[in-house]
Amino acid sequence: MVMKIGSIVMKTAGRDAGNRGVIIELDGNTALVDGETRRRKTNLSHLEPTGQSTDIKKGASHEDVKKALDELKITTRTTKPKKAGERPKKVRKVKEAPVEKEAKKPVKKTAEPKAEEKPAKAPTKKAAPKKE
Amino acid sequence: MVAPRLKSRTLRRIKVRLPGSKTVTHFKRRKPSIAKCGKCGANLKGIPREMPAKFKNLPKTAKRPQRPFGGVLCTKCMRAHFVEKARKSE
Repeated sequence: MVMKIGSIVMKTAGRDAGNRGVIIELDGNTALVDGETRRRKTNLSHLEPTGQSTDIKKGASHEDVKKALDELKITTRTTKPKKAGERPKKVRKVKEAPVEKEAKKPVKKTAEPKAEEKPAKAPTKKAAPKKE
Repeated sequence: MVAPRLKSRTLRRIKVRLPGSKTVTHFKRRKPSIAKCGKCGANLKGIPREMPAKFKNLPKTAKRPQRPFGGVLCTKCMRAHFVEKARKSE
């Protein structure tokens, strides 16, 4: 029932409640726990010893914990460190403006042949240029 | 004269002050009762007391605490459950 480094405990409070882990470090009223739980510093009052224990040294890495807990058939939770995504670069407004102008030019070119066709068909010449 | 269906106390009465400094009673449906612990019956915290239509549209994380038995058992009963489980595994 004594909490030592290497003893397996169950978290009884919070999000990780019901998950088992190993005590890696002890410091006053808190313990560093890793295993089914997230690797996390926890209050001793939130832990309950299960009676089992493993041979783990103080400050053991997550890989060592995983090896030790696999023997007891306790699955470990591995969290991937988050990578910071690239920040969106600011695009200057000056650069966008010439792109729009280029897009407009081809529209005018296509409109010109239409204007040439319409006068040949019908006398409504004034209506066609207004739409452009 | 109040409509007969509003004379019963099934609807709660809310006094509303209008812009013309006139107070009027509005009749609204009563809110559902507070969520209780399934084991000891204590009031549960972290569960909003909203009308079903509004509660339905809340995000899942806003509806109950993010722990095992969240929204079902109170913290005391939840901890007692896991302490017992840890001691049985010895």
